[in-house]
Amino acid sequence: MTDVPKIVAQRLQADSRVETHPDPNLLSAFLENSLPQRERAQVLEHLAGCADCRDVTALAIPEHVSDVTVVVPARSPWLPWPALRWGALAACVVVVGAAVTLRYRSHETSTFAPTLQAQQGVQQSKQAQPEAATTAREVVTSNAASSPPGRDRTVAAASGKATPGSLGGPAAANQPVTPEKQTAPAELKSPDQTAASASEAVKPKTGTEVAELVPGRAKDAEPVPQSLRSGQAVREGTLAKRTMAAPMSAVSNASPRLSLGLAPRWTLTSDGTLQRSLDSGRTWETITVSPQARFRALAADGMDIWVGGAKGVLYHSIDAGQHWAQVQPVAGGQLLTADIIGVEFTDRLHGTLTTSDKESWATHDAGQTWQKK
Amino acid sequence: MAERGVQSVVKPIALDFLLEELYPRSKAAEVGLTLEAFGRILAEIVGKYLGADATQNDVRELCSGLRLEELALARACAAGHERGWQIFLTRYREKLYNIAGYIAKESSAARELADSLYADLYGTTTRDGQRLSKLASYTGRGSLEGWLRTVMAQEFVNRYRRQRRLVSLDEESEEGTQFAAPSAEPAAVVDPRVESATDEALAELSSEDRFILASYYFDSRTLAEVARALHVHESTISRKLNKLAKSLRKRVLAGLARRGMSRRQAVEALEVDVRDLHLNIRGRLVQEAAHPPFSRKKAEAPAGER
Repeated sequence: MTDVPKIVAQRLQADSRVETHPDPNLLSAFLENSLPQRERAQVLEHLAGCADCRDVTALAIPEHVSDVTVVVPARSPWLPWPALRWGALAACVVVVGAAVTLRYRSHETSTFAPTLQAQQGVQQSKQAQPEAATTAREVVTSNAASSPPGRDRTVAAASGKATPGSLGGPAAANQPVTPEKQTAPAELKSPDQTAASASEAVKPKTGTEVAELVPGRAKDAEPVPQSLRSGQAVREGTLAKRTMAAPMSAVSNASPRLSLGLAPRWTLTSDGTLQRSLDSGRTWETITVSPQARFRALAADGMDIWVGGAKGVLYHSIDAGQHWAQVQPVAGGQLLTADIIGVEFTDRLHGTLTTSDKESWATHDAGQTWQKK
Repeated sequence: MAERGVQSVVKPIALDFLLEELYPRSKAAEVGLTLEAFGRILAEIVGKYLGADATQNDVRELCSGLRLEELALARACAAGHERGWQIFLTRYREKLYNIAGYIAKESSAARELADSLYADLYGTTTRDGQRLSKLASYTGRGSLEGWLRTVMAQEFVNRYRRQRRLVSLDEESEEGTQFAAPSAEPAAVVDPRVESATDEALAELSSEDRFILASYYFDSRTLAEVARALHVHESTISRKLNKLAKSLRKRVLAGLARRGMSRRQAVEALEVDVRDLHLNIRGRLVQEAAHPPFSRKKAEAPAGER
């Protein structure tokens, strides 16, 4: 790092502004990036010259920024008039719709152009590492209402290996795969039609969940034996048990505005219900993840969101709440059962859970494996 | 940033219209706040942050960005509503102690800090029979948890500053303060042209750049800490600091040239800090003496000491 002349550090100290300090409301809003541009500039101007307030803000920053509810950054000065903003949005929608329609007509097949989430799914599948030790991660969507009766589906096997009847192995592991003839809006369709068609018949379940052990590998851990697929705890290493969330939540949480790339805001109500806003907090909708769950903490980063609550309940969505997967952290053979009171994710992969028992559970691979501190 | 007094400058009808929309969203009824009470709270916040020329749009924008549910909860607690306190304790009591642990690092200090803040939030002091709770000052601009962090950080900074001023006499004599030789040399004077050229160069920077420089070079924050405050990546701060350091040097040199210094003089003025020369001489004198009259620690005092 290039050093500045010592005189600069001295003059920075002398550059203190003797004025009223911003109150904790403004400082905390500044740290959460939720101040409009004008006020943010005023707070920054003060902080540039006030060492006391800089000390306070340095201490007040959570250890991981995602510790607090994510808020959309301050409004851009572009297009300040609501009419102009909505008009621009409508024009974009018309242009995109026309482009999509023209492209659709130019193809001989009836395949629809991928949505934004499907493109993300393709990108994720390209990033998947086909290692034997990696965990096959799946987000499977299903719609109990629309899936034909009598069809069974076998969820992809563990250990990163493609087994007969699986959904394509590690390369396709991260793709959201749907059964054919999906009718729900904003449903994801896998570009890999081979994977979808290779699936076995779907086993209809009276409940709405399909549980599958997804073995994670601690370093130098022994291979996971077949018997573990029945749900038994392993003797070493760390596992994350993934459970597909109720299909109903996939339908009710879909929103066309998500496909336009608007970053959502999240909040938890006092009774532990998750709510989402796609219009910068103007309107909120309740997101039903699980009817019984009462959440106490969340962390969100773009489209990625984690919510945790009582008795170790932990859910994860990679598409802003359209689809959810329940995650049950296991470390050293011990399942997380305490109340989750803090969820922090610095990025898509690295996160920490804090429990009411003052335990800390960390993951470095987006929840596939966990270490208890 | 000056504090604003409570001003009811927005026509009541604007807030009434907003109240119909915002009151249900805030779930204030569940924590015992009436519509009127919630309206008064919003009016107070609008008056605090918006000026006399605020438009209805400004009011709507401000109020829509507030954390309404947390605001209702905090103000219900401040007003002493039991249901509000039940919810607050369930959601935030554990967090209070976790935050204190993160700030204070040491467990007993953390507990003391958390207990002290909890007492302030509950309102152990009264005025004219009214309980004064710190939660009454929460305005919902940021999250309640973030506000609690900031309030606790402020309390910790104030306490630490108070304790630093109260230095133990025993510690001072151990350090040899009472035997410290009086400083006979006059304080070194920095060339005023260097100071003014530096001030000019710093004034040309944006507030964000000055914040980054002050945090990194003056407060000794890490790149990660500075990056987290500004919600950017660490590498962005690293690149910015390198760029700033180079451009500052160029600007200061240009400023010194405008003030009549030759290039060589300007470079020398920046390369050599007169106070460093002064202290080096003292350090050499201390080394040559058989029994130094004061501790080496004092002789090697940082450049900032006066």
